[in-house]
Amino acid sequence: MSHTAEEIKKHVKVDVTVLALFAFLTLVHVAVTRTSLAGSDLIIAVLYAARFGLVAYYFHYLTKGKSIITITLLLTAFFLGVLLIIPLFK
Amino acid sequence: MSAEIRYISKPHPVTGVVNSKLGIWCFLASEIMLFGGLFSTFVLLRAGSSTWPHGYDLLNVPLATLNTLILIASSITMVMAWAELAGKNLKAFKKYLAATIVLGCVFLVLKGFEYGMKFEHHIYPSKNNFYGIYFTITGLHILHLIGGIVVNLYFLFPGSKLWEKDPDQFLGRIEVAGLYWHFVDLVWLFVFPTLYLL
Repeated sequence: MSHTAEEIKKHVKVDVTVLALFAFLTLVHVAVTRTSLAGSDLIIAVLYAARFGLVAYYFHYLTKGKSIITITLLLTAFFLGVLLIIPLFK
Repeated sequence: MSAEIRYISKPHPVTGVVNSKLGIWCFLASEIMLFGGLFSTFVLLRAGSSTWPHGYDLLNVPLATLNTLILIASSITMVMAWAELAGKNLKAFKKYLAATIVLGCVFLVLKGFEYGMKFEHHIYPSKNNFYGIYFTITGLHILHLIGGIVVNLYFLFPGSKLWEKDPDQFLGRIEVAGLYWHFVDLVWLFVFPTLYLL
């Protein structure tokens, strides 16, 4: 399980970039909520989508192409989607 | 009969990953379902309610924003801890892991203040559905964070002895602990906007 210096550097770079983006999105989200901007609902929807996208990218990156983990996560995402959709049906 | 646990340093030929990594991902998948169930409950309660308060009117947004940034910073120090260990620098690893633990504790203290302010005003989970789901989700998140802090404390002190015996296995353990810590951080990154900003 040895890692080259290049791999470590790349890993740290991706992690810090993703986490910095999360911090930025959080601050933007708070700012949008605190000000009554026109179309703020749309902005908030975009911010949620960006968050989900980042998480998907990050998890995909962390799995490093290991199909068994990817399959596990895709199955989880599917069942999570079902779980979130169920309340919408009466 | 040998009780040795196999494939803890070398990938399993069938899965292509070490057992601990597959184990933590399966655990995280179950955690996603757990928190997903609670988010689903939130959606159900909110959609079924004729009136629902805005989180930013009832909760302390500046404090929670600060807490979000603290948790993100703790994830960065966790990554740095892993990177230093992968670079075979145990001293720097311990420094970053200690920083992660401290940041986690700061998060808990600030959350304690937030809870304290609610309790002072006699606001408990039984007050209404909003506070019911707020205390359930944030309380469960706090329990997860405490679990992460306990694990990190173990690796900072007694657990680090493994580094001398089997560095690869120890690095694997830190990687797995890091994955869990990132997960706890990511959960908060959805809890915060959903409860505080909607």
